[in-house]
Amino acid sequence: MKDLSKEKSNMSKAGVITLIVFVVVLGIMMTVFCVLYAINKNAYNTTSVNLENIYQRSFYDLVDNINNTETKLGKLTNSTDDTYSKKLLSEIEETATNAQNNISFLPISMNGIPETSKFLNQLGGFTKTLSMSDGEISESDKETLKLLHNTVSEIKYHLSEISADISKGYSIIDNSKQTKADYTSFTTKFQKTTDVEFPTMIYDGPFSDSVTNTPVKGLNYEEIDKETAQEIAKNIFQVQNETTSEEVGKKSNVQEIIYVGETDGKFNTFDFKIRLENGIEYYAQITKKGGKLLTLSSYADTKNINITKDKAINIAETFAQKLEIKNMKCVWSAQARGDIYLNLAPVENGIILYPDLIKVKVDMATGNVLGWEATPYYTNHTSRSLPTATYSKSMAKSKIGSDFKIISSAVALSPLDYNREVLTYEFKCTKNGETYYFYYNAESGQEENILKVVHTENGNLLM
Amino acid sequence: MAVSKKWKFISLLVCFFALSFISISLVPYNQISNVEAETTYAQNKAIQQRLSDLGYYNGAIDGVINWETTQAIKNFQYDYGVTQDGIVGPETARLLGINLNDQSNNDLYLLAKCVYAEARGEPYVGQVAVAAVILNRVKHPDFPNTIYGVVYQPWAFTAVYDGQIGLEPNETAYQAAQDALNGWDPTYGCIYYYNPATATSQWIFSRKVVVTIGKHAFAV
Repeated sequence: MKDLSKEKSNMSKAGVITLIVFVVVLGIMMTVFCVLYAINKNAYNTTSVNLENIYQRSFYDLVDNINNTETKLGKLTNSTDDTYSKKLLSEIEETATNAQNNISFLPISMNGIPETSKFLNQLGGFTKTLSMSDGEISESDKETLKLLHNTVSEIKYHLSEISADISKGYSIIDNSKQTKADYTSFTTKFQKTTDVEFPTMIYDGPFSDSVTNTPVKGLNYEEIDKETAQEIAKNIFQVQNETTSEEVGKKSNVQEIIYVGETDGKFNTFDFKIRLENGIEYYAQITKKGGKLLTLSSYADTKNINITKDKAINIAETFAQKLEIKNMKCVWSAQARGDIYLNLAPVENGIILYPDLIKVKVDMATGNVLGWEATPYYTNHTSRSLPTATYSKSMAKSKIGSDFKIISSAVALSPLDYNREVLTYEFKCTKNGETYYFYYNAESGQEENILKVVHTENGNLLM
Repeated sequence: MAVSKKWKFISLLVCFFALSFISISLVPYNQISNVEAETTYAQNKAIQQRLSDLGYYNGAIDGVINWETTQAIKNFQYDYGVTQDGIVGPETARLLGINLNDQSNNDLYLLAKCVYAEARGEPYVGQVAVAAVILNRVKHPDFPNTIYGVVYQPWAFTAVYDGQIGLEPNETAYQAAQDALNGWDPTYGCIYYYNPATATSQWIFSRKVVVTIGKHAFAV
C-alpha cells in the first residue's frame, strides 16, 4: 500500500514536471511564432508598400505620357506649319510608346488591357510613319488625327478618375490581389479606358494589323489527306539519309511515326512525331494544301563540330533541292551551340528573293538536318513580276563612303519595312573590321537600309 | 508507470513539433539570397574557350565552372594583376575580351529562362513554341515591344510570379530559345498558351486554339 502511494506521488510529481515542460515549450513556441509573424508581417508590409509605390509611379508616368500625347495631338490638329507638325508627330510617337510601356508595368489581367495597349502602339506607329513621310499631312490623315485626339482625351478622362481614387487612398495592390479567374477592381477600373471608340488607322507601320494578318500566297495546291501527309513526312528522312555527309553522317531510318494532331491557324497542317532508329525525335508539320514540309524541329545533344560550314551549306541546299524547291542559295549563316542556322533564298534571274526565306538548322556533329522553317517561303513565294532596275549600280556604289571596302554586291528583292518588297542593290562592306550591308533602291537610288553584323559567341547577328 | 510514460511521450512529441515548427518558420529567412547574378552557360563556355586559347586552361569546354576552371581564372587574374577571386567579374571579363552584357545574349538567356520555367518537361517542339509565343507577343500590338517587357508583364506568365523564372535553364531550353530567335514558330503567330487541364480563367477558353503540343494549347 505504502509503495503504491509513493509510486502515486512520484507519478504525480512526474506529471507536474511534464506539465511544466509542456507549458514552457508551448510558451516558447508561441513567443517564437509571434516574433516570426511580426518579422514576416513587417517584411511583407514593407514589400507591399514598395510594390504599391512602383505601381503608382508607373500609373502616374502613364498619366503624364497620356496628358502629353493629348496636348501634342491638340496642338497638331491646329498647327499649320509643316516642320513643326513633323516635330510634334515624332514627339507623339515617343509619348505614346512610353505610355504603352507604362501600362505593361501595371498589374492588369490580359482581358483588361489589349485594346488600350494596341491603340497606343498603333498611335505610335501611325505618327511615326507620318513624321517620316515626305510632303504635307493629307486632309484624310488630319481627320484621323482629330479622331485620335478625341480618343486620347477620353482615355485621359478615365485615368483622371483613377488618379482621384488613388489620391483618396485607393491601393492598386490591395485591389489586384484576387488572382485566378476574377481580377476585379484595378483591371475593371482600367477596363473603362477601353470603353472608347478606337479609330482605325490605315498605315503599314510596325504594329499595323496587316503585319499579323499577312495572307499565305505560296500554297495554291489541292488538299491532301492524312495518310498521304504521313508518307510525305516519312519520305523526308529518306531524303535526310541521301543528303547526310558521307564522312561523319550515319544513316538512320524511321523507327516510329505518330500522328499527333493538326494545326488550324494561318497555316493548316498535319503534325507528326517521328522517332529515328538513332533515338532522335522530330516534330514535322506538313501542309494540308500540297503536302509541303513547313517546319521540322529537333535537337541533338552531341556538340562536336565535325563538318565545315561549306559542307553544311551543301547539305542544306541539296536537302531543299530534293524536296523540289529549286534554286535555293544560302544567303546567311550563323553558328550557335554546335548547330548552324542557314538562311536559304531563291535566286531568280540573278535576283535574290529575300522575302521567300527557308531556314535550315544543321547539326555540325553529324551533318543531319535538325530543323526546317519554311513559313516565309510559303507565305510569300509566288510568281512575281519583278521590277527592272532603272538606277545604275555604279551610281549606287558611288554613294558608299570611300572608307568602306566593298566585299561583294548583289541585286536583291528586299522585304523592307513590313510587307513592302523593294528591288535593291546590296553591298557587303567592311570598315575597321566591322561588316555592314548597304541597301539602295534600284529604281530611285534612295538608301533603304543599313545592317551591321554583330559578332556574338552565339554566331553572327544582323542589327 | 504507464501514465508517466504517456506524459513523457506527449512532452517529447510537443518538443519535437516545437522544434520542427521553429525550423520550418526559419526556412524562408535562409532562402533570401540564393540567386546571384552569375555568368550564363554560354558565357561560361566562352570563358573556358578564351582561357584555353590563352593557355590557362586544358579542361573541357563544357560551360561548367568547376575547380579547374576557377584555378585557370585565378592564374589569369594573377598574371593580369586583378584580385584573385576566381570569379569573372566586369574587370576580368574586360581583360578576357568577353562581353557580359551583350544585349542579344540577354535576350537569349531571358527567353531560355522563361522556356525552362514554363515548359521544362514538355516535348522539345513545345518548348520552341513557348519561346515563339513570347516573340510573337513582342511583335504584336497588344503587348509590350521588348522581350523583357513581355516576360515581366505582371500576371502574364505563372512561372514569373511564382519565382521559377530564377531557375537556371538547361541546354534544351537554350536550344529551343535559339530556334525561336532564328524564326521557328510551330504555332504560326499564337500569342497565348494554356494548360486546358489546369486553366481557371474562362476568358482564355474563348480564344481560338491553333495547335496543341504536349500539355499546352496554343491560341490566338
